[in-house]
Amino acid sequence: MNRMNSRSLKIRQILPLLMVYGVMAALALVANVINPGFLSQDNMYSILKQVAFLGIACIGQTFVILTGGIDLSLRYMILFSNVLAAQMINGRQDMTWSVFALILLISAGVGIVNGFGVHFLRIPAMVMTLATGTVLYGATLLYCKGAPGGHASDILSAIANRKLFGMMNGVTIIWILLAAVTIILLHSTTFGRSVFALGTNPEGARYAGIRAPFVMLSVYVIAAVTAGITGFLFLGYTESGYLSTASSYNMDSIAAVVVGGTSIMGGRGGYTGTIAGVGIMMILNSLMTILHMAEAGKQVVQGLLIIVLLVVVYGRRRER
Amino acid sequence: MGPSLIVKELDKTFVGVHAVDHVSFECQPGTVHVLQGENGAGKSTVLKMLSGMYQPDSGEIILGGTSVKFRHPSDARRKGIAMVYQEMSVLPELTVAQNIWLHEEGRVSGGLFLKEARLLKATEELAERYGIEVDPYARTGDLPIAGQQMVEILKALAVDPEILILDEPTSALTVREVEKLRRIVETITYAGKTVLFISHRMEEVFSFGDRATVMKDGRLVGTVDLKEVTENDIIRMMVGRELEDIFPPGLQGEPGETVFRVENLGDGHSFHNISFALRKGEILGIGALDGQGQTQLMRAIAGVQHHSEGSVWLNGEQLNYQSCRKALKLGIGYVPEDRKQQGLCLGMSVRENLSMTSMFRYATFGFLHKKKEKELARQMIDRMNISTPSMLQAVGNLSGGNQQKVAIGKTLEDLPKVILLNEPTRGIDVEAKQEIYRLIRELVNQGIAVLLYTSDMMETIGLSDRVITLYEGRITGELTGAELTEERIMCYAMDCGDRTGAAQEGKGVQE
Amino acid sequence: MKTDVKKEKIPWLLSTKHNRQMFLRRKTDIMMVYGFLILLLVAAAFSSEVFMKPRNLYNLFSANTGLLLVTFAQLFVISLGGVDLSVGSVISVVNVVLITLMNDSPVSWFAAIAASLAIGAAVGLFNGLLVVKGNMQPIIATLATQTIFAGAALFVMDIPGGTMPSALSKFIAKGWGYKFPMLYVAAITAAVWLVINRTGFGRSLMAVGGSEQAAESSGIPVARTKILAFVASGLLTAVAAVCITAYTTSGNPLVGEAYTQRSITTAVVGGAALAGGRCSVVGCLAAVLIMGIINNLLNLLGMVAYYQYVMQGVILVAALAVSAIRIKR
Repeated sequence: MNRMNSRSLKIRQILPLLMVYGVMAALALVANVINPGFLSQDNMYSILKQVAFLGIACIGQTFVILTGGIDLSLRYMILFSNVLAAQMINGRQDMTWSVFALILLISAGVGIVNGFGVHFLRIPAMVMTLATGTVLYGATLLYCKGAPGGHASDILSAIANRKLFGMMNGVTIIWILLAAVTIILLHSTTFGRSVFALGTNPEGARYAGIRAPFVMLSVYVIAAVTAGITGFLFLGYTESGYLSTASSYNMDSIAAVVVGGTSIMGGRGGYTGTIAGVGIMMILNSLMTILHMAEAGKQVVQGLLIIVLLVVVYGRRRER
Repeated sequence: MGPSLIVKELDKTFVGVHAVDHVSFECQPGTVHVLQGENGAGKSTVLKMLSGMYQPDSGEIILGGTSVKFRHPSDARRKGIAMVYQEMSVLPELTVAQNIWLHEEGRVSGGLFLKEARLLKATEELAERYGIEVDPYARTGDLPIAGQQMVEILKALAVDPEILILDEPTSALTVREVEKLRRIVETITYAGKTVLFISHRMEEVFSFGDRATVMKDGRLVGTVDLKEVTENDIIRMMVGRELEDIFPPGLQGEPGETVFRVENLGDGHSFHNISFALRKGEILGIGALDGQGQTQLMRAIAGVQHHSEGSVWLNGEQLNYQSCRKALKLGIGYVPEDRKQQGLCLGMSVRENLSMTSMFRYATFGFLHKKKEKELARQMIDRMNISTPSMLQAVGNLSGGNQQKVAIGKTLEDLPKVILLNEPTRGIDVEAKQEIYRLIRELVNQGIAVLLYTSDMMETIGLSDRVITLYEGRITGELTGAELTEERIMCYAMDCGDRTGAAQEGKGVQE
Repeated sequence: MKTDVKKEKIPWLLSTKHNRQMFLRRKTDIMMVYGFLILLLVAAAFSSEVFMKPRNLYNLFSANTGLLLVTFAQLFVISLGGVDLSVGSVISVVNVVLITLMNDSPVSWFAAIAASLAIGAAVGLFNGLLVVKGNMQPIIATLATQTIFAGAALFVMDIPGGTMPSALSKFIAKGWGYKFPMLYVAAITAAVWLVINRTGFGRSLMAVGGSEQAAESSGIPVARTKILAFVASGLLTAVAAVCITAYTTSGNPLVGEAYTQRSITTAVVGGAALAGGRCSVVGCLAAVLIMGIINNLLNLLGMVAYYQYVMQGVILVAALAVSAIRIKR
């Protein structure tokens, strides 16, 4: 085997990743030129805050898309957990952690239902998660009778709003920890390898002795639990439950994962790219806010950027 | 009458690869012309240029005296060249009739809207003309693979082509259907048309073909009359050197003690009451026609599917397992027949594929042992002589032979005590086949018990020390040594009454 | 070979037992959907006196024509093996454009409707080109364009407002004593059925959705088929948007949002395979009715609207689980 060849192959394989990070850096620099305060600590703090929420939500989406699925219940899981937490905690410090435990339990349950439908009943992931998402939405509305109330406890607000090390809040730190765990899980464990294998060739994975039921259920549980955590932490940021919470998170998370280089057909990509994807989306968003762009313009630009990035960075790669 | 097809100086380069290098040959009307060469010799590329899938960079295709250019497969079909592709291209959701007339529908229906009744009628006429029985109403996906292949062939015949191209048409067919195909080919050539044919089964090359053009590394080696040459001549032309002995020497002396045995294994429908033992130093072959329960048997032993009766013993201990994973843990490795679907994850790297099963063995608390993984992959690539630029290369980019080596290597990396090989050489070239033969022999010599099934009878005879024959899911005989002849095995495999030889061959064909 | 067996001219459905079985097996999904629809109708008729009243039935019809047409639009892309996430925002765009362009003169009505159809075809073409030339999966391409069109809708009209001239909206939604809408819904349904089941384009669509490689080697123009499918989807979405606007009568840049998910749901409940290559126009009809009746019934029974979501989700899972379990057997 040829050493040079091996190295050039490695470079070719990580090239898209480098390009996405390059785009992210370039975007930040451009933003700084347009608006010199952009890279200031204050602004970075506010961007990182946004990145952290979407980043945590994207952990699950990355796992699910890697197996060749898609999670459309994510947004409703976030909403449900957010509204539930707001109403149950209602400012009481002592309730915070028991509510958190409850949310973990419920979201794990939702994940098991999703995973069960997708793996055992062979329902396409998109439809299965759409269905559970719709149920969750109905459940949310029923629970709060259409008008969410309650408010965050002090500790939750502190996690979301107290500045640490100049440019981070508690959520950012939680995100960094979770991101590290995710990357290790994906690339250095048999579980992660199994996720890739299942995404590439489910039948082949079975012949190789991979426990598909366990892996698939776990993936959907991870997705629902990270969404649950996102909704819970979101409460600290929004202070109260809102029905509009995370309303764009389904699409944003899919966009971030795909822009980050994970193939929608599964089996290729990873969370490292997703981080850049989230970064790009949030930097762009922040830049447009600074420029006082109307919502209409923001959406158009965001959509165009996704297209351009996908065509430029991954256009040559044939997706089948 | 002049040649029906002349290929003149055809040339095609893909990014960096000179796939076809100025190849020329002629086909006569009313003959079967075989295109031969190892995988990657450029045969498929030539055929794809003839069928309009690719456009040649230079050169000329002369069809019935006029020079033609195809922009699209439908273009070629209209002008009289139809191809049956190696990869199945029928659509499972459509009916047989719809598949056959796909894209010809406008012509058949004669109008904007499709008329189902006319399609059905046309299908019946077509099938009758070539003596094939198909149900035009059946959903194609419900047919067995061989039936789908027949639909594929009918689809090509539907345009009544001057040149019919068959790219490995027999790899999915049973003996019976190969006979049918032979009749179809005879009907076509009798009508003065030409058949261009690729097959990796040497005996078919000779039984079907009239003339053969041999290619190597994208270049033309020569065109010969198949009546004037022997199998070895062709092989020599293909690989460019003499192949004295295709198979490694078999077992000398007596086999060792029993390593693995199954008793009265059955799953209730596809195989029944199967008992055999695998002994040290010996390759046990299964002699059977397609679909006699051998795949189900192997899958059951591998734990992929359940068996309802019987027991499995390894080194004197009875094993209990219900899953593939457990079977692998106990040391039963299975190399499935379909490497693309079952054996490998094509999008993942060579290294990741090699460690796909063994990673569980070497992981601590679920964490991969990357250093060990790399080391083992390097060793396996050397041992299997896998030709890949790097262990990071995606398996899908390797040639068929190297893919198969990875599929076997992956099973070996898990250190199995028993290895079940189902069609280990399907669709790979002669040289790679030989390497795999050598490797299988090596494995047995190292004390691994081997059970082998291959649909190539030459291989079954050449590799096995002992053969059990299966017919309709039951063992019909056991043959060793001098008894291992094609006639004897076929006779047992078709469960003939008197078992004297090939006289009864027609019996199985008719059903 | 035996060729002397005389094939008699009898309807093939009755010709052999095998054919009957095959037919039944292929249509079981659809029959089950219709069976469920009938059960639901009976249940509805018994549980609410108002349900069977003509007024309610007309209302049921008007409220769901839009969804039916969007489902047809979705069907074209689903048949390809993709999914069109942009239908919702296309509806919104057409809605606001219609309202903005219309005034009291009938000329402007026609102009606005013509513009709507042109927009539909154009966005379909854009989606199709992204998929074919940009080499993107339909879900990703339409995810991106979905955002763009949503932005465009907000650009045209940032807050809900304006109304459709009532003469026009009444005519589209209830003209000729509901006969006009019934007529065009029937005509469009028939046309979609014909295109999908009885034209070369429809067959090509199923072929590409079934296996792109197979379609390619059969000489089917894959790229053209894909683009056409998206154009058809865009056009139908525009027609649906006109119906929806006539029903809601007002402009709202977010009006289409819910339709993306609902159209996927109804198409799938109606028997379309998300993997592509299989779909049923007739099944969609029943699926839309099922969803409509449930919502209608919950309203009539005075249940909180929130239950609708729960019911929708549960029905979707149940429908899919039943068909999944049946296939597994």
